[in-house]
Amino acid sequence: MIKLTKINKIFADKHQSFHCLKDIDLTINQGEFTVIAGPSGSGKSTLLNIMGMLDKPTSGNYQFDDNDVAKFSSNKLADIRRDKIGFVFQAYNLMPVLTALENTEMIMEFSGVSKKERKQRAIETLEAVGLGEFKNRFPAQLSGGQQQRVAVARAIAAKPLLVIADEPTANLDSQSTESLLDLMVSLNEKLGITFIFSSHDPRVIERAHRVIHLQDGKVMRDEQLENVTAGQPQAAMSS
Amino acid sequence: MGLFIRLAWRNLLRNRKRSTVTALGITLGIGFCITTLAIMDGLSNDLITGTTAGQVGHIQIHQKDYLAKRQLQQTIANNTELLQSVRQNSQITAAAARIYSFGYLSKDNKSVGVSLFGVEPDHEQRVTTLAEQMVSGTFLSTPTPWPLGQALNDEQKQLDEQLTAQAVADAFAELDGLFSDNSSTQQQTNQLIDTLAPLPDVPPKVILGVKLAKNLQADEGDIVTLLYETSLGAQQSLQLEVAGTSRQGTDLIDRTRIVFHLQDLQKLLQLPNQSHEIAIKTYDLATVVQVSDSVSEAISVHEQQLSVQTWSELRPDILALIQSNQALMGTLVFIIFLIAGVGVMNAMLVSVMERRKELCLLKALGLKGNNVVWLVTVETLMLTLVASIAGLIMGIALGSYLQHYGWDISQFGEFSLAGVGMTSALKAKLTLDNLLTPVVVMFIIALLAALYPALSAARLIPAQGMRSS
Ligand SMILES: Nc1ncnc2c1ncn2[C@@H]1O[C@H](COP(=O)(O)OP(=O)(O)O)[C@@H](O)[C@H]1O
Ligand SMILES: [Mg+2]
Repeated sequence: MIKLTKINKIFADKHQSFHCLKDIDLTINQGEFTVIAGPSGSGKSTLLNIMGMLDKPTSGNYQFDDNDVAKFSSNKLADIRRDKIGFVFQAYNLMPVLTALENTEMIMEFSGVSKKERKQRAIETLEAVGLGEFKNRFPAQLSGGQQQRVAVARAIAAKPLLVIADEPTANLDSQSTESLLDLMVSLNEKLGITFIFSSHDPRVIERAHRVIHLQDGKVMRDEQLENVTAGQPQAAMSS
Repeated sequence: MGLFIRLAWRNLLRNRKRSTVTALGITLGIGFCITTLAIMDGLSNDLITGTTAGQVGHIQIHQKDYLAKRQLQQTIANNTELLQSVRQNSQITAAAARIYSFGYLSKDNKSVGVSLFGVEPDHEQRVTTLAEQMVSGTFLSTPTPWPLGQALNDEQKQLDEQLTAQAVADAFAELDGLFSDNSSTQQQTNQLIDTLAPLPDVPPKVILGVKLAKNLQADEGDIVTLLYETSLGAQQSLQLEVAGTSRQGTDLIDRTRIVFHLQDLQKLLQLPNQSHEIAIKTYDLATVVQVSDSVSEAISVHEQQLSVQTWSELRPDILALIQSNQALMGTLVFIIFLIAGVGVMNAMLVSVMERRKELCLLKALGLKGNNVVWLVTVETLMLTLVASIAGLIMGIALGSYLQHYGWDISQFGEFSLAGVGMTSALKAKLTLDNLLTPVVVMFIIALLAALYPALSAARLIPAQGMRSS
């Protein structure tokens, strides 16, 4: 699904330049549950931004579903983000002036899903992430963990192929972290959604199938893990 | 679209203070523009009405060159027939003939130079407001019964020749310094004139300018004496009865004018079936040029050297005054809009900068650049819409107050602009144009002001907003 070849990202301004990603070669397949791990400043967010088509690499080739991303116009990129990729960011995930339900519906509204259908899907998804009763609350009226769940709900309600989550649990307590992870794992297993997320949190890393260790903009290690819970049915979706 | 409206509306509410201040700018801008335009139109209207209804009418007919020289003999001949052809025009409400001359008016030992103004009372009051300007007494109605003049018989013609010769001889004698008693010659001459053009048995009724009456201490019912010259050059005097006084707006007229029935003045000046001026009122001032053309054509059958002019040709000074007035107000309105526009632009720029991260999020989630432009534009339009409605209400309220009660400018004294007596309360005039123009212009300005903030929002790179916490 994603194939990165010799991706480099250099941030440069008048005074200095910073080589953030160095010759990254990476392939991510459909249905994977991958964590990009690494210390702060190692380039995780930058890599996810490039994979999520929010930013362009300085050099290198990015194939998405066998298409060269560099050839897409910015409108085409916006369409792919809207239709195929769900995002969960570390912060600033939600529109503060929209309720949890409206936030969840938003992407479907961009893509023109009918009012009735998108509302129904949004409510179902919010219920699935355990926030059915909070659907009319504004982000400021929700806890950090609840906000991240809304973000996950929004990311998956539009039925993407891929969910990119940048340190989704960084601001969460351990209980919220656990339930959010349960949710994502079950979505991966039930719907086959590909998950890529970044984290340096061991609790997150141990739930992944594959961990890519990043350091100073380079891939240090790429390990396939035998996950304890993999393959077992989860309770989150059915509750 | 529904989402955009919701986002825009809630964003405006989120920054209630800023939105209110910006909206207030727009509201005041529109409100004052409407009021300014209404006052401007009211002033123009007052000037035009003051000019046309006061004296000028919409169209005037004169003998060519009359206005330049104003000689008593420069008359329109066949006045009645000419008026008939003019009044046949269906676009004309009324047409009134007039005569002008000069004289001296005296009462007791006071004597004042006066301008004589002969009008057809019933027609004149349908062209101008002359009849409504009475301060005391009643306006003129019927002409004074006037004995008919008789042609001289042979004997009298002979006497006339003798008297003329005698008068010439007397004049030479006077030049030589010799005294001669010519009182009997004078008496005989007057008798002849009386036969030719007899004077009425009762004094003709006239209206005096209010200040003229005051200067002469002449009241309603008083008899005053007019000294004047006929069109044939004879000096005559005649007693007149003051039927009333009127205030016609300008100081000069109120000091000097004395209004006659047209027929009285025709007889007095010996201008049978003649006039100096025909003033015309049309149904619609906007069509005055076409009506003027058709009047020209209609009267051309009378084969006189006449000129037909519209009010703006007769009073180009008034037109120029109106135009400079409009230019001034236009500049003012432009400045008001410019200030409001800068305010809108500033508010939207701040709003976009504040919401950089949100806008980046929307773009990251798949909103296209042109949709972001829309989002910011919708927000601006909604702010403008709400503020415009408030501005409209304010403009209508202020404008209609000034339309009904006027703006009391009498504190600056009684005054006239370019010779047009202005009513002391300047009345605004609200028109659909005055209401819609500021709103439409404000929307255009708001759109232009939103353009830069909207485009800069559209150019945001989604990743930039997502970085760091
Ligand atoms: N837009 C940018 N301009 C300049 N430097 C940047 C920019 N984005 C990221 N960086 C730098 O790149 C490095 C990697 O950042 P990031 O990808 O956010 O790391 P991580 O997510 O692993 O903490 C950091 O040192 C950061 O300062
Ligand atoms: Mg990061």
